[in-house]
Order: sequence, then C-alpha cells, then structure tokens
Amino acid sequence: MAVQELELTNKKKSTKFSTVKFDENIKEKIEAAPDLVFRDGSRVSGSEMWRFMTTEGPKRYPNLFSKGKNHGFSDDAELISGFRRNYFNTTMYDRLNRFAAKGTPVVFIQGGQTHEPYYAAGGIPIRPGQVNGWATNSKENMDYDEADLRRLQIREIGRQALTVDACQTAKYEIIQNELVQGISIIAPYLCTRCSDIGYGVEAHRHGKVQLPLLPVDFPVNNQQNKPWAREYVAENLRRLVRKIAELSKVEVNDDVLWKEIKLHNEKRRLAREYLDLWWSAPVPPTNSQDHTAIAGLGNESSNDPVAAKQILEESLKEVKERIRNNVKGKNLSDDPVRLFICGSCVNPNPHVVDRAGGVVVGKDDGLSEIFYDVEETGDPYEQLAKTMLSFPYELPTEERGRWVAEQVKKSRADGMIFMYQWGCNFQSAAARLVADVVKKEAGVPTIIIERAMAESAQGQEQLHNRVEVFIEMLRQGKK
Amino acid sequence: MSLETLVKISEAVGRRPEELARARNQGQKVVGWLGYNIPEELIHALGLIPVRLGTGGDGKLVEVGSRYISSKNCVYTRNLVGLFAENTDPYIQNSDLIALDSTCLQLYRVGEIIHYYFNINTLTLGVPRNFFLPEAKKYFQAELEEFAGKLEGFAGKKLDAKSLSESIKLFNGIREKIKNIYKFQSEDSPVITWSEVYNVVHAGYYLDREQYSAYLSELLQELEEKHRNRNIDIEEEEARVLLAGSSIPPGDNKIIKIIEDLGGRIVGDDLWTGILPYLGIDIQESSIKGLADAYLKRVPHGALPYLDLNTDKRLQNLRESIKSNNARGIIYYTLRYCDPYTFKAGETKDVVKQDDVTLLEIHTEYAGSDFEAIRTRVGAFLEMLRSGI
Amino acid sequence: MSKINAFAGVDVGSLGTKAVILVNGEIAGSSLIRTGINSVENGLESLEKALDSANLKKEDLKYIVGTGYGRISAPYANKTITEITCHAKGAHYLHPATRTIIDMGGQDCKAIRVDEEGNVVDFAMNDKCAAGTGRFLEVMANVFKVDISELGPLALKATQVLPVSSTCTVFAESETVSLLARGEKPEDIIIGVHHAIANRIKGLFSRVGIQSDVFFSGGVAKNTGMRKALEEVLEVRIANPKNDPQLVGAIGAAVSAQKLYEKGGNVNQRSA
Repeated sequence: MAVQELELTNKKKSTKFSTVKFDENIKEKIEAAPDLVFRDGSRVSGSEMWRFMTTEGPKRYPNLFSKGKNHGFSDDAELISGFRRNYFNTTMYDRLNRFAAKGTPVVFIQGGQTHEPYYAAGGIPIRPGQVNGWATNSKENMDYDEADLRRLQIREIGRQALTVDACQTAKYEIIQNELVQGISIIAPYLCTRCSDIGYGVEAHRHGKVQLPLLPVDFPVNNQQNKPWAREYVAENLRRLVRKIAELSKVEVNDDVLWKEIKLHNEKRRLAREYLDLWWSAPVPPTNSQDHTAIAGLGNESSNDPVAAKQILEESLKEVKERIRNNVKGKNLSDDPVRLFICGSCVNPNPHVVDRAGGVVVGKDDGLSEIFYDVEETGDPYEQLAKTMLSFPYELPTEERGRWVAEQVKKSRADGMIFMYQWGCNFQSAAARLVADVVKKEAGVPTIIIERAMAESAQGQEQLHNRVEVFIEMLRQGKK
Repeated sequence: MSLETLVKISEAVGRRPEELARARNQGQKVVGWLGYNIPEELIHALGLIPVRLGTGGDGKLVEVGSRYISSKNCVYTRNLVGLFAENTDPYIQNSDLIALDSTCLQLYRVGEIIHYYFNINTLTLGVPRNFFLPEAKKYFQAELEEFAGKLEGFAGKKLDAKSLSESIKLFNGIREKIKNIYKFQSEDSPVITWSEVYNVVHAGYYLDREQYSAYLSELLQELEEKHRNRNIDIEEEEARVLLAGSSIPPGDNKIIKIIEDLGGRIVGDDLWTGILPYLGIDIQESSIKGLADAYLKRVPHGALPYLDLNTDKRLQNLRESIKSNNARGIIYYTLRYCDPYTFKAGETKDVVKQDDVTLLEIHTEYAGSDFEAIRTRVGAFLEMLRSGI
Repeated sequence: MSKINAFAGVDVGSLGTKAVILVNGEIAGSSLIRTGINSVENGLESLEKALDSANLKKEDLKYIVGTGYGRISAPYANKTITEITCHAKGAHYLHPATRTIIDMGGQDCKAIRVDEEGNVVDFAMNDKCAAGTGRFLEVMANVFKVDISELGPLALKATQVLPVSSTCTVFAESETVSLLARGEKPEDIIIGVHHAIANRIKGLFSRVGIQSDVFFSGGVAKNTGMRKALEEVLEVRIANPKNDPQLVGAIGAAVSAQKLYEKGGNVNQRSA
C-alpha cells in the first residue's frame, strides 16, 4: 500500500507560511564555533552547518524550515547551541539512510528507556516518533501542508491495517509498507508507557515484511528490588544484545557495554545539571521549545550519542552564561506561568505556551529517563535492568504521582498538565490518579487534556485553547 | 429451564452472598480475584475462599468508573471501577483481599485505582509478557512464590503439601467436568444450550468449590441421561456460531441476546469468561513451581503478545474449537480500547479463512446506542451463514 | 390473489424511506420520501406512492420484503431481511458483474463482497461513529453553510487537499472549524473531508478485500466529489448504474421478495 499521491489539476505550492531565515548577525558565531564531532570520528564545521541550514536544508525540507505561528524552529537565534541542535536533528534522516545503506542494524524501539544496549551491540535505536519523521521526510520538497497530509495518511494506513483504536500503529505500517528502508529488527521495551506497542509488534508476525521481533519485557509494579525480576530483565537484555550483535557483526563484551553506559551516564548527569540550573534560575534562560529539547538530549541521541553529548555540553555552557547575565529565553513573558507536563508522546505546543504567558519547566517522562544513573559496578546487564525498573515514570501510579509532586515543587511549577494521546489506555488510566496526588502533595492546580490522535498539525485550535485557558487561570492565581 | 441441576445451581448462587457473609463472621477470609493467571488452587489450599469477581454490561457503572479511569479504557475496566466505587456488589463487599495479576495492564491500573480511591486491600501477581522465554519461567516461579508467601501471611497459615495436592485435584476435576459439559451444548438437538453452560461456568466464580464440583457431576449425569433420550430434530441451515474475542463477563448480555434473538446458535466460545481458563492446564508436580509452570503453559491470554503465528496456541486452540464444535462462523466480539483482542481481529479473520470459516468483528461498548447497528450486522452474518435467500 | 406478478421491497433508512415495485422482474414503480418519526407509517406511505407510480394496488402484491433500520417495525412485510443482503441483491440485479459494493447511507457505511450470484460472502460496517456517512456530510454542509448537494462540486474545485482527520465526526468538525478560522479556502477543506471519509471506507475494505466491478449505492453515491475521492483512494473504477443509487436496497428487497415467493417461502416469517 503506497501513501496516496494526490493529483489535483489546480495544485500549487502553498505560500501561507514563510521560510525560516537565520539572522546574518549570528553567521559569524556559527562559523566560528568548533566542529561537531560524531561517533565515527567524522566532523562537521560551523560553516558547513550554516550552509546546510540556509541553502540545502530549506530546499530539501521546506516543511521543516517552514515558519508559522505555531510551528517552526525556535525564534531564539542567539542560542548558538540551538542552531547546532537543529542542524543535528534535521540531518538525522541522512544519517539514518547512511546507516541503513551500510547495513548497520537500525532497531525499532520504545521511548522513555535506556539506549545503551542497542548502541553497544552496534545498532541504531530509533523511536516511533522518529520513524514517523523519517518516513514523512523520506519524500523531499514538501511544503508544510503536504508534509502534514502525508503524516496523516501514514497514520491512516496503520489504522486501516490494525484498528481505529490504535495510536502507535502507523509505525507498524511504515515498516510493513517499507516507507523507510533499513529497519532490521523490532525490539522495544514493553513498559506501561504505551498500550499499543506490544500488539503492534505482535501484528508484524502476520505481515508481508518479516523481521526479527524481540521485545524486552518490563515487569511492572516497582520490581527493582526483586532479584528475580532484575535477572529476568537482564536475561532479556543479554538476548537483545546478542541478537543485534549478530546482525551488526560487532563483538560485544562487558567492557563495550560499560563504555556505553559511562557515556550515557555522563549525558544523564549533564542533563540533570542543566535542569537544576534552569529550575533555580530567577529568569527562565530558554523558551519552552529550547528547554524541552535540551533536557531531552539527556536520553535521546538522534542516533549519535557522542555528538548529542557535545551539543548538550555546549547548551549547558550557554545557559550558564545566560543565567549569569540574567538573560531570558526569547519570546517568554516576564514572570511566566511555570508548567510541569505529565504523560506520553505528546506535549502542549511550546509556541502556544510561550505566547500565552507560560513556560514549560519539565516533563515527567523526560525527567524519568535521566533521573538515575546506571551503577558502574557488578554485572552491566543487571545494573541496566535495575535502573530501568527504577525509572519513576514506570513506578506504580501513586508513587509516580508522589515523585511528580516533588519535581513540581523543585521546579517551582505553578500548575501541572497531564496530556495523553487519544487511544492511549495506560497513560489515560493513570491521568486522574497522578493529577490528584500532585494536587494533594504539591498543592498546585492540575488539568487533564486528551489530544485527538488523528488531528492534523493545523487542526488543533481546541487543544491549544485548553492550554491557554489553563495558563490564564494560573496567571490569575499568581497575581 | 428443563434441567433440574440448573435450577439447583441457580438457587445456590442466590444463597451464596449470605453464605459468604456467614463464613466471614466465623473467621474465614474471602479472596476476590480479577485477572487471568491467579491460581485458585493456591487460595483454596490455604483455606481461603476464592471468588472470581467482575461483571459487565452496566452503563451506569461505566459512567461512574470513567470518573477515575478514563474513557479510553475498555468498558469492562470502567464497569469494574464503577463496581468498587458504588460498592453494591455482594461479592466485592464480602472480599477481604483483592488479588490481581498483571496479564492485562488495564486491569493492573484498575488495581492501582481501587487501592488509592477506595482503600481496597490489593495484592498483585506479576506475569511475564515474554512468557515463552526460558527466563520467564524462572521469573514467574519466583513471583508466584512471593505471592504465595503474602497469601500465607494473609491466611495466617503455611501452605502444606497435602492441602495443595487436594486442591489441585479438586480444580482438575472442575476443569474436566466443565470441558465435558461444553461438549453437550454443541450436539445436534442439544439438551443444554451454550448460554446455560455459560451461566454454569459463571456460577463457579462464586460457589463453594467442593459444592460446585458436586453440582457439575450431578449436571453431567443428568445431561448424559437426557442426551440419550432426546428427540433428534436436525434443523436445516443452522447458523452455528462460535463466540470469541474480549471477555464477556456476567451481566454483559448484549451480543448473546442479539445472536439468539435472531435465531443464531452459539455452539461454543473462545473466551476468558468462558471455556479458556479451563483448557490446557497440566500440573506436573504438586508445588508452587508446578503451578507456575502449568499456568504459563496454558493457552495464553490475548494481552500477552506472542510472536510466531505458526506456533500460536491461541490460534491453534481456536481452530480446533471451530472443528470440534462444527462452527460455521465466528462472531469476534471486541470491546473498544481492548487492544489485546482488537489488534488481532484482522489477523484472526485471515487465519480462520483457511478453514473456510468467516469472521464478523463486533467492536462495541456496553451502551445500547449501537444495538440496532449490531443487530443488522449479526442479522446479515446469520443470513450469510444460512447461505442467503 | 391478483394475476399480476408483482413484488415490493420497502427500505426504511435513517434519513430516507424507499419502496420499489417489481413486475415480471422489471422495476415498475418506486418512491423516495424523507423518514419521519413513525417508521411504520413511513414504510406504508412510501409503499403506497410506489404502488401509485406503478398503477397497482396493494392487493396486487404477492410478497413484500422490508429492510433498513425500520424493518423491526414493518407489519406490512411478509419477511424482513437486513439491508446488507438487500444491497447485495439490488446491486447484483442492476449490475450483475458487481463483486464489491460500497454503500453509504444516512448513518452507516458498508463494504460488501458478493459472489457471481449476488450472495454476500463478506462484509464490514462502520462502527459507532458517523464518520463516512451521509450524516457526517450533512454536518459538514452545515459548517460550510451550503446545501449537501453542493459539497461534491465544491470539492472538485480544490487547489490543495488540506489534512482532516477521519476518526470521528466530532474531531473532524472541530478541525474544520479550526481550519476555517485560519482562513483556509472551503473547497480545500471540503476535499480534505471527502478524502478523510474515503479513507474510512478504505479501512473497511482492508478487512474484506476489494474486487471489480465496484458498485456504489446509497444516498451519498449521488455526491460526485465523494465518488472521485473513493476512486482515488481505493484505486478502483466505480461502475455507473443507471438507477437512483438510493433505491438499491429497496430494489434488492423487491428482488428477494420475488425469490422468496418462488421458493415458496412462508408468508409472515420474520427474521432479521
């Protein structure tokens, strides 16, 4: 089944959105910045980045470089690490294509978890959202509307193949219809983050594209202290690493895994340091979009943990400088309403939040995945298992709620939004409980917002409206 | 109801809540359980009274439940939360502990919610999702050991080998008898209907298990006799339907009523509220390890993904069941947001096509608003099975 | 009993009630009225009108089959049959090469597969929600303040297809309002809506499969934009029936009436 190519007689490119134009004022700083160094030792210079982001990128991906009220790169052009991060993320698809062409196993995974086993085994982990982006942007030269439509059509194929109740399934169909080339194994964690992933994986057994399926089990209900649960997960991880290593032909021993764990521990530590600084700053140094993206680098590596770590370090340095100089993130209002976000796979639109006078301070799943390091002693698989099983996001809902309440207090949030995707059984079921615990323990107002999964990027006024109203309400409480 | 034993069973169920209350007054404890992999043998062997909980089909309870769990959870779980919120169900009122397992994670969330909001004493048994891996066996054994330890604490006594072995024997007997009773309902001119058998199964959720086992023996005897002496009147073009999919607990009568009202004949089921829990349990040794291994080797519940189509016991069992019951079509009933069964609908349809069996998926909730639309589908499906006009 | 070989089919749908009279295997009369509150009266009224147009009286009819949502209360019918079977029979009667039927009525849509004799071999129907139905298009026509008959022609004027989701009427309606508020052109949104509906229909076919010839029946089949969207999304050609596509169910009911009568089907037997 192909994604529908629509032939309209009177078709023309949309002109309603402008294209991002980077300020020439920052060109010098971008070009002078050090090379970005990748895991394989290759480097990209500042001038190459400037070239890509001002000429090649906009030409190939008009949709990603499109600028509208509610979409597009952050307006904070002064944040040099932000420009570099955007370069890093935009070129992710090219890197994925190169990996696939070289035969490096690209592994379909689940978000919110540790990535070390995949990288150590010589694989490239890719989350459902990224698979979606990869598939959408495998077609170039689309304007914003065209890309939006293509995304919607891809989701639709998934729903048609499985069920309308599905959320994550579009990724199933991306693989089954080979909308991206090169995913070679499907091996996500089966945690409570997503209610569809297990059945989405199972469905592949009946598909025309047959790939190895190897989910890693995730015993729920706070089993981190049960030796048998840790051993069970550790054994699943060993199996996973063996299987990926078979495909990558990389030899994996404990040292290789330890090296990877150390790298990711460093990233987690950097992200925690960044968050602590940001939270304690009197004036928020970055806007919602940049803040969420920087914190996200603590776990997510956009397929190159080495380069991701470099950008994280650079961001940390810049943000420290801003805090010292009391610089506020671009587009933020004075004394913005501070929002803490809970839930999976969906965020309030950062442009809407900032414009309405708010700022996102943190998110429970992003925070959860960097909250604990993997202890660097003993058996690496057991330690990984223990850390995974400790992630607060995966704890029993009451405990997760208490943990969120602590973070709400620490981040001085004025309110909490629990947002979940339509059709997400596990997160929707946890929403009220988390909200009630947070209200009780942190004493802040909370709201639960469901996002209609099928909505196009532009059809979300109702969703934005709810976020805006909540911010207005909190603003009144603040005065 | 022409079968005497059915009347007796139904009367016994009517008396049961009071009996339970009396037993509790005399110091006995009741363990209400929800889920798919709780070994009742264990509860029983510790001198605790097992009761399988959960009803469906009540729109009002669904509404109440939705206030705590969300509208994006299946109606069965919403109905359940509503049951605990309203606390009018005599079996819930009489439960001293609620045991659950994590087979279905929406049900796991129900456990969290009833504990937080209604202060219910819960105990959760972990079930491996990669149940087919060798390491899963070890994990489940250890989980069940721990679960048993906590139950021992609750019962105030240690599990002894003799009682466990007796309990296992009792439950093996119940399982055998249920399977035998099922055979009668799919015969030509049956002396018992599938619906009647279904009610007998549900009676077993509540009744004292020894007493229940005795009733089943009595029923079997009555069935054998009536079966021998029945008049055979073969109906032409009978629309023989197997009911499969999401659980259909006591109280959820919508689909059953529609099929029967339209003259369709249900000749068997593939349901966790029907025959499935009684199939494929072979307890090799009378120990917790023996229980753990046997439960893990059963036909697995749909909430546990299985990755190889050709060796999937669920599908094998379904195909055998089609054959042994001589079913001509499957009505595959899925509750909205019951992903474990909904995701498999298309695949199941393709698989049974090999046996020349058609499958109709009915995707619904408890509310009656789609009653007519379902009637149309089922009506057309039965017309199709009867080979049309 | 009358010597005329006349049979009737009455299809009481959610929006329209239809009746067809078959004499010697040919359509001799028909009627279409809007469904009101009383489905028995609607059925009877429609039947009377069809009889009038065929110059026949009720006594001339040898057998009547009722179908559609109103079939549960159709005391005038000798037998009732579901509209799924009737659409299959009707499409087969009008276009014997039909193997697949898309029926889009007022409150549901159906994907039906038939064999060479017009027997149903598989089918699927939309679930609870109204996306993909005539009702959905009515809601949309209301949003755009146009008559429902203008939607199709408007869709054909689009310069681009705007993404509109297809899961639910309520979502789609709120998205449409969002898009209008942003100043998007109505025709671009309308074609997006048509494609969303076509995608729902495609979803139905993913379970039952599709095979030519494809026949499009039901009230929505009159919408040219919908027909084009379906052809694009399903990648099929849709056959062009001469008769009013809204009458197919009633035609099928009349055809079934004749068959049942010939089979010696007992009068007053009730089924679906």
